[in-house]
Amino acid sequence: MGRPDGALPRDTLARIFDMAQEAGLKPCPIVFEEVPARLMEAITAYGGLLNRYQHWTFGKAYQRIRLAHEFRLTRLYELVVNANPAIAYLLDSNSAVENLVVTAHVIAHVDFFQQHYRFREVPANMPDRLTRIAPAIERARVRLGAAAVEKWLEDAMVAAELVDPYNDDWEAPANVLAYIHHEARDLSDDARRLIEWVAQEARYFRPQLDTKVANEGWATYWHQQLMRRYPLTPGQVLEYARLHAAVVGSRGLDNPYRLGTAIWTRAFADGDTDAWQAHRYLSDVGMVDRFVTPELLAELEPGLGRDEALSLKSRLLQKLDNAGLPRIEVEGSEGRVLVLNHRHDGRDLDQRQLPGALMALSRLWGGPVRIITAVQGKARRLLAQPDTVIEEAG
Amino acid sequence: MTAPRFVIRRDDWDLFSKPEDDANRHRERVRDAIKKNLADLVSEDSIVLSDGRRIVRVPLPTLDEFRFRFEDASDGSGSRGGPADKGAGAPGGGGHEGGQGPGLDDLVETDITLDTADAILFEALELPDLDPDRKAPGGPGGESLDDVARTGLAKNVDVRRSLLQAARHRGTRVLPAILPEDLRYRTWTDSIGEETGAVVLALMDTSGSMGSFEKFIARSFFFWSIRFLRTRYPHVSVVFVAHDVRAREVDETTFFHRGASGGTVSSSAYQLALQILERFPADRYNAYCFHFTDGGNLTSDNAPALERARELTGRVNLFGYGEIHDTVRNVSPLYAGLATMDRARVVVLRGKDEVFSALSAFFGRERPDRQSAVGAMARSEHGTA
Repeated sequence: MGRPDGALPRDTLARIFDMAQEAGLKPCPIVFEEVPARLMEAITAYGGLLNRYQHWTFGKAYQRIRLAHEFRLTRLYELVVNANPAIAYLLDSNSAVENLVVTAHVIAHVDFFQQHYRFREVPANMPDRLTRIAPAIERARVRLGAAAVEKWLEDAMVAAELVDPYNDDWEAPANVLAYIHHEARDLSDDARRLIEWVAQEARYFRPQLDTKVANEGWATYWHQQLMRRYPLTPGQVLEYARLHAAVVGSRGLDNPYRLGTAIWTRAFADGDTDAWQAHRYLSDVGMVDRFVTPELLAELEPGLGRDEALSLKSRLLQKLDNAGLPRIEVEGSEGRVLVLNHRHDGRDLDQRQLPGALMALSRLWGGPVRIITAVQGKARRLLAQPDTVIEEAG
Repeated sequence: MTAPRFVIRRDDWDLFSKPEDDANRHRERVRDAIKKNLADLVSEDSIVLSDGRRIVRVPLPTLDEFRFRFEDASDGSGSRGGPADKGAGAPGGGGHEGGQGPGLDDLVETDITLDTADAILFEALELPDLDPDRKAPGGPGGESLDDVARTGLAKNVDVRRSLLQAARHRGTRVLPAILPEDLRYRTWTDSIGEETGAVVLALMDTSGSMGSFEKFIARSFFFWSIRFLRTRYPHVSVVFVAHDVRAREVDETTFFHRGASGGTVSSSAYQLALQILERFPADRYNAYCFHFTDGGNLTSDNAPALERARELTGRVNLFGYGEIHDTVRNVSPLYAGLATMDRARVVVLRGKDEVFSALSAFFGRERPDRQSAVGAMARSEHGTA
């Protein structure tokens, strides 16, 4: 088969694997799948799991990603699926140098998934499980109707974000969907299974959300290390330097590649043992807390004073806390009413989205849902029914 | 033998249609939401002028994915793109994507151009030409309108083709913005008379029983039906007729804003419509007559009204009769009588969201029954002024 310039040569890949393993990375076997750009966009929309159930939300994500690509806002070089064997999708139009960088990057991601403790409880065969669940979802479509299944999935996705990532017991207050699943009175078996499935997916993805900066940083740090050792021609060095610069960007903390690389560079400067320990045990909050110093912030945001740096660090920690999601917990049920408490940390909830999200919970719960929150320092209580929300007197 | 460290694959994805299927489902939802909100689209606050172009802010609550998020402090809009918006939750989910550039959250499409709304709405509509023997030049059937050109008159913009072109240029099918180079125009192969076109007779009951809700429905309907006819005819004349016990030709403002009073004698409006049509020769004008009423015609007028209506249906391409009910009740004798006539189509409208149903009933491509499915109820002899 005729291969374009960018195709992945087996011996090059073997060489990068050798170098990575020599450096201490321990990836599981990887299936590299070279795909066209259009498919890469689709894969991204499905979070890497192409076998997921059909849902319009993925279609919407797909359209938006395609649109962004049309406007050249983003380019996706690779996407790694956490599984064993891992699946790495590569863009089939990648140049030879892009593929070198991308495979080194991928190997480090896979190592991270394999070594970090947060991924130990995650099923290694998620793609296969998805294939097996498909018939059950089809049966639910027949019995409940396609529109009802679509709605159950949509509502469950809202609730599935409300999890305690460290404790999957339904009684843990942060596990709102698990509580509903366990305690709701009128859920049909089909609906219950749909909810279970969405909850499983959310649990699968959650550690990735909590380690986004650490993992992207780890992969970027290591592609940098490996490319420094790889014998590149002068022309290739230039292409690599451009690519790396595009990935890490010029300034700011919003880019997880940039922030993450800076953190790992600091961690390894502090000592190899510390860094390798952190790589197994720290998620984003831990990494920032442990390694982000005022000096490091000043490197990333030139011109920053010491006080500004400290407040920037605390804002960064807050932003990364709980994967950036508000902490909403079950208080209990009062009769038919499910009562939730928003643990307010100084940041208000988005009031535009709140009613819609609450109604989704009410539909799942099969009854009224109350939330106790605060807006601009004043207590606010909302009571949601499946299709209305009213404000209750404080 | 140990497992290989890696495998390299290239599969054939040509038949993998799931992403497109899901994207189509999303587009279908956008279309449905637009159709459901048709009546709202014509209300003044939802059609706004933006950058000199008409942009419709489509209220599409069902299309939003509402999540528990923090108020976005940075821009104060507080809507999209909280810190966890991308990646968190099911749709994006996770995976580790390597890429560059800003996030995707800036690109949302809640605003669409009026032309786009037209394209979506009118896709399902066609011109009823119920008498195949009476073809007006440049009129319905429209073979001569099928040619497409890159230049032309603004009023002849072929919205669907322009959209397609925009989609092709930008490789997307997600309601793309139309740039000047995308514009395609309908053009005529045969020369046609300047006067060729259509006349719309807008008949409205303005008797005491017609409230603001009924007028709102009628107004929405006329807004879109006139827009639709203008995409098909070079000239569309609209004549407004208001009637209670008497009928008068009025201007648009009076038609929609006139205070309601009096009883209802529908035959007066039909009689006046017949007289007005004498000004629009049948060989040059395709005639469409619509009558909106609450159905409360004076009992003694039912027979004369149906007689006039039968004359009218012999003269027009389509006689559309819309009966607006603000409560659940039976259809009127007028409705029942018109339902049996050729070239007449009848609908009952009970809510704002049924304006599109009325448009489809009158102009829809697929009409298993002449009677609309919209709230068609058992016929009855009920109905007095």
